[in-house]
Amino acid sequence: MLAVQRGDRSAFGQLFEKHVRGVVGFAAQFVGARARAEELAQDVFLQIYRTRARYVPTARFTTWLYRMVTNACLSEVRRADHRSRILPVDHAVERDDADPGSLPEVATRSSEEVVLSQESLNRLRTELEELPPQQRAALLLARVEGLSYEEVAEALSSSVSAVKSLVHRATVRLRDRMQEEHK
Amino acid sequence: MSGCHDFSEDLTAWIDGQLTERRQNQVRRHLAACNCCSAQVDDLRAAIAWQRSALRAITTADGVDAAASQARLRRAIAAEADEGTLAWSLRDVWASMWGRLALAGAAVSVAVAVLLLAGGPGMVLMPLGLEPPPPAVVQHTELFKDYPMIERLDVLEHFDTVESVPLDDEDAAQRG
Repeated sequence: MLAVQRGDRSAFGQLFEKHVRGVVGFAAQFVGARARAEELAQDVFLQIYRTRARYVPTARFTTWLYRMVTNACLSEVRRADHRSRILPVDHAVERDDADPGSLPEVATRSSEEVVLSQESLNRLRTELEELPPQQRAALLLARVEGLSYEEVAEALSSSVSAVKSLVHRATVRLRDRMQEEHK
Repeated sequence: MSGCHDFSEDLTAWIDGQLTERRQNQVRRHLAACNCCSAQVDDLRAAIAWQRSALRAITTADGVDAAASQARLRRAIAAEADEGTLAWSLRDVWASMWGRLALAGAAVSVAVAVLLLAGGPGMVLMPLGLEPPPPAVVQHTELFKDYPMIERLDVLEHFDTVESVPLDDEDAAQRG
């Protein structure tokens, strides 16, 4: 980011390349449609380019980036016309069109082998959408982006203790809902 | 000893290693003595592991064409840079003292020109006391003595209309 501040456009390209997929994936959990998530990601990167002079390297770039992304996503969710623009079948269409071989039926990211059936992933998407936006954002930032609670608090302009509560409640709620599914 | 309730909200953060060292130790001591909370931690730990993998799976944006997206972004930046050229040059002018004076003078000139075009010289001169007030004000000064702020404004051009407004039934009854 410091190179971007000095006017190095190729450095900006590298930052974009590195983070765009994560940003689109994150945003899609708030705006529903992939196309809208890509637009939102583009807006965020444009905003980063515009405000590059204001970046102060006191925090990780990822924290700064996700602060902007989270603000954009939460603003989008708050918009009154948000619901009308969501395409509820968007995920299903993407999944149907995708190569089944590329879908993560089994993931072994942790030391434990975790089985992820397509059905449970669909259910998780639905349950995630039902979470309050702040809980959703906190959970995704902590679990997917790997931000510490302190960094999540910075991204959400909140306190660490509030984040602790948000992450805990989101974790318990998702666990309970997913367990209900198997009963 | 504190009850389970005092620790329940901290269990996720404890698994994530996000508590302060002091609190982390307090929770550890409680878990060593509480089977109920230990079972809860095992359950949460499994849920967190599953959620981490599953959330990563559903947020994977493999379909994003990063090169095409980057090309669109570059075009947006280039377009903004073109539009920004004029804005930046104006900003440079504004940055200097003489530039500020020049821009302020230009703004006043434009404002005066707009007023002259919109309402003729009276619009500018009347508020300054250099134009005579409208005849309606001259003829009925008693009506305007309490309204010094408006007596010279051309809002009174509709005075005749206001004067001849028909009375409504209630007013007519009161006067009649």
